[in-house]
Amino acid sequence: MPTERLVLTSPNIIFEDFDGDLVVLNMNSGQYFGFNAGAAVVWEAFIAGYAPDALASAYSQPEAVTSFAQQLVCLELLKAEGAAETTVPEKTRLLIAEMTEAPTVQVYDDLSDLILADPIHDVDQDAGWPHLPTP
Amino acid sequence: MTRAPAGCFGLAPPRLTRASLVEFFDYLFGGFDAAFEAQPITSRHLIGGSVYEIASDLPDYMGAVETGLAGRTINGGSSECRIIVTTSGKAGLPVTPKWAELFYAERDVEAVLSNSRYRVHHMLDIGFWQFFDRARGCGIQLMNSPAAYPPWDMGSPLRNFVHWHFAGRQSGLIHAGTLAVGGTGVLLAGPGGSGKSGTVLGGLMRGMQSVGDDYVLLQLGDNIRVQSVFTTMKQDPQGLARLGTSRPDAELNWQGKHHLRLSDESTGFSVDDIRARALLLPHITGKSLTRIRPASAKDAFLALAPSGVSQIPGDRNASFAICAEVSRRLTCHHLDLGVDPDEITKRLRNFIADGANG
Repeated sequence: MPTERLVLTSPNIIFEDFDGDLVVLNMNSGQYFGFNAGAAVVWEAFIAGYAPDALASAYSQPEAVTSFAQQLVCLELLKAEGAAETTVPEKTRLLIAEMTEAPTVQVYDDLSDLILADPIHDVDQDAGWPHLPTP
Repeated sequence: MTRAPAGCFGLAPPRLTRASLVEFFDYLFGGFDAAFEAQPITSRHLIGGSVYEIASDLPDYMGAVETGLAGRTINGGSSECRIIVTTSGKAGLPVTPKWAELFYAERDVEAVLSNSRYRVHHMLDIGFWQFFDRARGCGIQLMNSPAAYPPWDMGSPLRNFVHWHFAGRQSGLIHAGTLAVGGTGVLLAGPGGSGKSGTVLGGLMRGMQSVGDDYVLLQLGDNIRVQSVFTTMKQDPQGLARLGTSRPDAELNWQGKHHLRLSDESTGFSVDDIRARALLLPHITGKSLTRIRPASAKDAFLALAPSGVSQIPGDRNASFAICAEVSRRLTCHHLDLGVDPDEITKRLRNFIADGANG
């Protein structure tokens, strides 16, 4: 994976930017993820096709970038597919080098059951949204 | 078996499977115009600038539509959206859809139709179907019997059709409450128990305006306009008690809540369209005074998006994008609710009068 290209696992991975932070929704798993600004920068570079190892070399804590890549794969947001671009443009290297915080991801698991729940069939009939049926 | 061409109801319809969904839709909607004309009851509603015409042979259901769907009009112009509501197998629309696969997986069906003109929603256990042709603005709701609809349907009848009609046009349904003064106001977003509905109802009872508390239509332009789609809101007896009121004669719905007509609760000037200036995230604190403090767009989005994206089938990407755009464009604030409805309403009135900037 360090030299492989990372791509979205499916079209059901959608994301939105909020002042440099990112919220990613995996509609397959129902999980939301809050990315800090550092994670948003590295995510964009991964999506652009640059190799995790090449990006890591631009940052003062290289392992933070490579472990972030592994985390995204474990979370089934990205998957390795083919060879990545190993030459990173200077502009991207600078963005990575100047990150003030290492990439971190906050997982909003508390929402996943509700997002994955079929809202018509699975929501509790008595209590309604946002309550799941009593087992 | 001879396969029927579109609208030729004398012959067998295509089997209803993921692989034949579009073919089934083509067949079903081929007979739409004649079936629409054959329905004895119609009702017209002006929603978000579009005229909806509903046709049915079910008087009770149409009574619920006429009172529950906003914007009832006698406007005689052409309609942008036509919807038939009937029971399966009736003359004029003699189709009884039956899912021909072992399981009905709604997300899989949505994925199959995502790039097509069609949308569908199905409740297997009660035989409830909603079909929509986005290109023509035509919808069909088929039920096993006149009352075989989901219990929450009466609070927001035909909700999915409105969403499908508007989705992807810089507009769509969102799950939020609204309060305004003089046509300018705020959106309120949060999960059940956050105090959203109590805040809206308390404001209405004290002269503020609202275009809805559950689902409202959002239109993104130079300004963010919010328009009414449904005429009712829900509140439980405990919530009414906190507001110093009760409805002992009113029936409780499936959630143990009263369905209240917005117009009955309002003491102010009624509107069906407001300009939103801020997005508020209410939270019950138990403290004496209400506090409004800044929230990030990301937090606002996380309060607004999940229920809308998950509760409305189809076009979830569009719902996600609209919620994000609203969160970015409006100023966002936490609304730490005090315990006094008068104080809450006064604080919100002042907030809106000051430009909703906190």
